[in-house]
Amino acid sequence: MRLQGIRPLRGLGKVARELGTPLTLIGGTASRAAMRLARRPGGRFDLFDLVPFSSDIDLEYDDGPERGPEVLQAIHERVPFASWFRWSLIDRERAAKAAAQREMSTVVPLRRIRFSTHCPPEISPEALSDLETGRVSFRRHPRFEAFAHDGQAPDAEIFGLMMALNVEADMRAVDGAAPGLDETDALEWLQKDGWNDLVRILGDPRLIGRFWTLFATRWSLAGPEGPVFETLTRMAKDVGVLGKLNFDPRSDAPIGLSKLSRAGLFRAPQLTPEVFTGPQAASSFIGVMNDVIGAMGLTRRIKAPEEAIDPSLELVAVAPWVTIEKLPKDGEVSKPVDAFESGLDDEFIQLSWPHQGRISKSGLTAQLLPYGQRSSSTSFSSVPAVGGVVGERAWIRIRLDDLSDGQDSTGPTTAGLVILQARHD
Amino acid sequence: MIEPAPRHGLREVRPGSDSHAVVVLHGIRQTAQDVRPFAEMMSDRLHGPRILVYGYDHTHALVRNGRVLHERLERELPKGRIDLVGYSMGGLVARLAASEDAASRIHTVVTLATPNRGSLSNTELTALGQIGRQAFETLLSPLIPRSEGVKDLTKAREIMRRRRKRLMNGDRAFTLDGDKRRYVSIPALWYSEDKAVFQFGPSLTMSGLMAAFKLAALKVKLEAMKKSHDGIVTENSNNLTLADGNDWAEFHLTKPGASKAPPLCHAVIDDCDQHDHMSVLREEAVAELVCALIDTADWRNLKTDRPGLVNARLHPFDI
Repeated sequence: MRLQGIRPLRGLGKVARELGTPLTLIGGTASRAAMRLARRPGGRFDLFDLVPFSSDIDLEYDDGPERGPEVLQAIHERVPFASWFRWSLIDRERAAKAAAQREMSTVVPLRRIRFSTHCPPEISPEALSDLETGRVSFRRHPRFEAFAHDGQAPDAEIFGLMMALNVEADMRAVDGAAPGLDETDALEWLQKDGWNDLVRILGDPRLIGRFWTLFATRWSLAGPEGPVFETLTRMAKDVGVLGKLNFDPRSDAPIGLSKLSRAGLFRAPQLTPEVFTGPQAASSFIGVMNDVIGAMGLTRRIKAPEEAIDPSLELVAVAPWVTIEKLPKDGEVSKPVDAFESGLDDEFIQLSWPHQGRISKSGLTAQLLPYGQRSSSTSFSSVPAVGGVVGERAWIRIRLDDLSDGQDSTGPTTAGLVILQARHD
Repeated sequence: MIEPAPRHGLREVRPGSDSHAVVVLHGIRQTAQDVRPFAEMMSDRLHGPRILVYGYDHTHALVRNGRVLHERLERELPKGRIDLVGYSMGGLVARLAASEDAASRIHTVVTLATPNRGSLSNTELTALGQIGRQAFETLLSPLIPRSEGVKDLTKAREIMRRRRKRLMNGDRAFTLDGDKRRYVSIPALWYSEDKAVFQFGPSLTMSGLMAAFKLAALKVKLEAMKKSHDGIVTENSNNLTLADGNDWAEFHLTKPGASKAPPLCHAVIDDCDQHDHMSVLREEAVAELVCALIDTADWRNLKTDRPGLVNARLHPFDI
């Protein structure tokens, strides 16, 4: 099968043809597509299913970096809903670096599947076996430590295990009964070398940030359960990594995740923002809306959510205080940390929380309401937002590209985040 | 979860004759309240028919909304002629309601700024999600990209092709009588590449909240669109009368009846160029055009019957 044979990505065939460059899907989205095709043959899925929560779409193109914006624009024209996703475009040079980096990293065969517009997919015999059995195999690299201290970007081998845990979460989302990771091997790894890695992570804000990115993704997409993940959580708590992140590992903890800067800071620094659901969401919503309306200079106040929500939608949850730090100034913008990171600016914040009541897998959306903006008009502008549900948790992803850093303000933007869904009736 | 207090269905704007009703439908991210002022402008110009607005759940599938509208019209307006005026997505709902049953009493379908001929691109979807809305001043209505309603906007052509096939039911000679069913499209431009300086249309005003959003990215996306457009759809996408060498949709089944009056028309007035996708609903000249189209039995006579519309362009028979 070619890349354009994956129905939600068929527009990429046209992009490749028009631009005259082969496109190759790699990473998590390629892995999830293969799992869907292998474990649920004939099942319907859309691009949102393939790219949940903080996932991005890793796409190699066979040309120089100068063509990146052109490729991205073509994608935006040809792939429906492209704006709702982060496209991590990898040019020829970065693809070569990434391949070299992969050679020295933990092998998770399912994460090495490749779909191209111009040639058959690359699926190793190990990956094929994993697709058939529902297992998630992994293989440590014997020389990882030497590589990690070889002047490259800071790294910790445990991230390879965490990636495998995330692949397991993807596998379980497709097939809840899949056997997943070999727990004995994973626990042995953790017990033998995990402590040292976690101590190393504790000493480097960039590694702590990366730990949170992987940890938050697993927690959001599969919950905190599972012997390996529970052990990892316990160890990270004991070492102090979770304390440094101010994260109390309660099963009902909301999770916030955003772009990590080179200095190890998240664009939305609250990693466990307050999220209200049920009746508390209603009162929180009224408070948020009246604050915002007041700042607009209007005298009107609302007394019930339905006064301010499209009747086709209903309120699901409210995160009343979300902080979004200012974008770095041009001179401070860092180059990509590693070869896998997109050089383009797509940026999102993600939130997951334990949901209550009936919630729609495909009907979630959200609205950011920045506080303290005086206004001569009264319309609300939306930014692309989408959500989903995995088990007991729901997630939402909001695009930040169109959020201004407030040229006249020196501080961060604070906003209420209102999460809505299509009505069931 | 907050208890629903919905509000979909028919609402009367002005009472009138039992034998003729005109129903106005809103677009995506809107409610019946949004098109009520437009319906009121029509009331001032269209004497005789009963005028109503209709609210539907824009997150639902287009086909479902069309079927529900058809059923409600049958039940709640049980006799006489019915005309539908569908704004934006409402135009597609109107078309599906009219074609739910070949024998439907729906006579004239007016689509205003409706993506009649194709599918929305991603850029258009993004714009659709980002334009400000001012209906209730403070009504939140962000786009739900995974909702059936939005997904259907990306495959409207396919949906209408299937509807044509269903109406034909294997009869290759099947037609609809143009004296009983006719369709007209009206565009609403917003952004034109002819404009020297990028300007947001009247509805995309920069509120304080909007100021927190930088619109440069949206501007780039809109400018990247190849043709003049209204921020949502190109005019060509609105136009029901363009020949593409392939009769693919349900409206192509309508053929001139005994009167020989044309059953398809694309009507444009200069005022359409001055408005955006939202503000076109505030334009009295557009309301006048819609009323004239409903009132005129043979659209070829529209300009002589209505001197105020002498500059209107009526495709395909007026060029």
